[in-house]
Amino acid sequence: MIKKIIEVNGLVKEYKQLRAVDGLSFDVYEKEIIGLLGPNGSGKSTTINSILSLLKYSEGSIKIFGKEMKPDAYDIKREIGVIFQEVAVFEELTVYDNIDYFCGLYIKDKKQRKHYVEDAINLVGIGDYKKFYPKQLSGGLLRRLNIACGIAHKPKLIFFDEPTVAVDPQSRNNILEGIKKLRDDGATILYTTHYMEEVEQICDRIIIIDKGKIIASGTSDSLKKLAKVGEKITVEIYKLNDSIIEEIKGLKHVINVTYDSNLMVVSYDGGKNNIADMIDFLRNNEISYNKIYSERPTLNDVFLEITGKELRD
Amino acid sequence: MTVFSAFLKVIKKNIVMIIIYTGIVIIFAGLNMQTDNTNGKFVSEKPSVLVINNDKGSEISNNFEKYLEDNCEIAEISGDEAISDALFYREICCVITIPKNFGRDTLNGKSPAPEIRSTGEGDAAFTKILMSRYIRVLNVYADDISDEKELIKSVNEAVSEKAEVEMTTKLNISSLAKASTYFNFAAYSLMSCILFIICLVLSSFNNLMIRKRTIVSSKNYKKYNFDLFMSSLTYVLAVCFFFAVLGYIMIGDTLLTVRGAMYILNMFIFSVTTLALAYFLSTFLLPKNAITGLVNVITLGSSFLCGVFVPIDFLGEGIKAIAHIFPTYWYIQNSEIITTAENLGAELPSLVSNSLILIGFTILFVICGIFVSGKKRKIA
Repeated sequence: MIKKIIEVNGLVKEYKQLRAVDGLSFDVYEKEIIGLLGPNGSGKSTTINSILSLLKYSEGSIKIFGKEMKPDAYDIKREIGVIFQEVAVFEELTVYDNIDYFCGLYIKDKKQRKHYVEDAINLVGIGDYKKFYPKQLSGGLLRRLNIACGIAHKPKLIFFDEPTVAVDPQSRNNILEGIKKLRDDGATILYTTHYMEEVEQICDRIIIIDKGKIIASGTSDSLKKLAKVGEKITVEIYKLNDSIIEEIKGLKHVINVTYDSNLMVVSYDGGKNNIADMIDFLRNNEISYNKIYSERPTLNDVFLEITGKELRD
Repeated sequence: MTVFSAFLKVIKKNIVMIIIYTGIVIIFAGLNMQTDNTNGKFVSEKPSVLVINNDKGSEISNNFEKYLEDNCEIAEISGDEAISDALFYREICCVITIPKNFGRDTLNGKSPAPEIRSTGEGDAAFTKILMSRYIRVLNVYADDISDEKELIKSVNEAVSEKAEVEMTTKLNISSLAKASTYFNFAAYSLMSCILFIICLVLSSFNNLMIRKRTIVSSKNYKKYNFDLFMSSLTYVLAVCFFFAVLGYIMIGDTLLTVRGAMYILNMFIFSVTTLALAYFLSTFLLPKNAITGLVNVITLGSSFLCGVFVPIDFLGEGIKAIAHIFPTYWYIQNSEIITTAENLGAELPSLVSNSLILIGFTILFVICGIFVSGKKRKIA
């Protein structure tokens, strides 16, 4: 039986007139990466702050490792690592000293700590910058340092709050690979982000929240099935007759065809070899084209389908 | 130890500021000690005057001239223009003219007065005092004595009488003055070292994100705050110890006396008050540049107003009244009492009440700090 690491039941958080979290319930299982996805103000941060006891919630219950989470639950906190969106390090301490300090808040034994700090430095790949001060680091390296400070004590449960904001692609890949490795090493991860592609890339399960409520949850594929739109194929064609458009509309799985500014967009509701079939159709009808590409539905389409607005609104 | 160790590392990063502030106390206190002239000796100087005696034939006039010769430096100048020049260039401070028939008029009870032209400065005033003293005695005796020789004899006896002055103080005024100078200047450096460093260090530890990271950690938050407080107190003790050792190097054995111990105790109480002020200021979560500016305004402002750089007696009554609202004023008051009190036991109530006022400031800053940080936490 898979062990439950986080159990959230009927969580409610009210700020005077505003209900920031409205009866949220979900579980997080051992060794999974769960993505918490939602637009700004959807209640993601309030949910995480409530789970971490940084906020006092109005109703509901939160259990971590099967025990009730409270501000003084230091035995639970010992097993938790948190990487906040904003970098939280001392400007006056070197990279090594920063990691050592935050690890020292959990681990008293100096020898063990030294070992753990080295592991964290290697995991995020900042071994060459140990004696650097934060001001001397690039944005990406600073983010990696921020992560190292949060995971150096080898926690079993890690919260990542948008850790890749304003990070260069190389550092982003490094961070995402690191997160996967942490999961492979046995950690459970709760990951919040704006970037849908990141969630699709690393999360085993996704919870989409809006206005403090869960509006959908499941794997990336299962969520995409919720969206009515399927694949979209875009073809750049110089000249196209109306009769050809009508003919394309009659093809299998095609639900809509638009042609504007030399771009033809064909929407499908299913089908596996749609792009190959389209290429065959264009060749058979001797229609010349510049480029052709296919787009799969994204989580944004799912969000749009359910709420009628963009995920990043 | 984790918090203490990080605390020390942050201090180490700001060590240059500590060195600068320590340098200031060494240079300024050292210079003031060198120019200090409070050594218990008194040397009188005779004013330089010109006497024009227009009554040479009179014994009384000649005796007055001789009195002036005994108490002043008599210049030899002739001609109106030369006399005016001598006054203008301060070669002499005044010109005393004994009028014709001065002696006869005195004997006739007319109480004649010599004419005087002066620069109006200190020496001239002193000469006027000398002269009026003689004339007053002369006129008083002239009322009763009509014989010229007897009158002169009586006047000479009266004006030659001198009061016995005995220095009763047992204090080593010279070394205590040095100690006072050192501890007065130390107030500025001490306050700067504590306020600047503690505010900077706490601004790092009180950074909202670092606080959040600490709260979610397995470190007991009350223990964490206690560790921070103990680290700050240790730093303050180290600074006090350092300034005491520096004081011993600069002043010497005076610091090993009861008065020396009281100077150090006064410094320690003041340091704790400054620490409380630093805690209060750090609750405002100011940026580091703002901290530097604010600390300079507080330390320099209170030092100038409370008599750290300039003796408080030289300051106006209005400024003295304003100075009461600063802890530095009460520290300086205690320092002055320790320096000048003949009997420390008798001054103990004043010392204790000034120290209690400093402790009162400490409590006030702590309460204000708790109030502001509570408000800030609520907003965060």
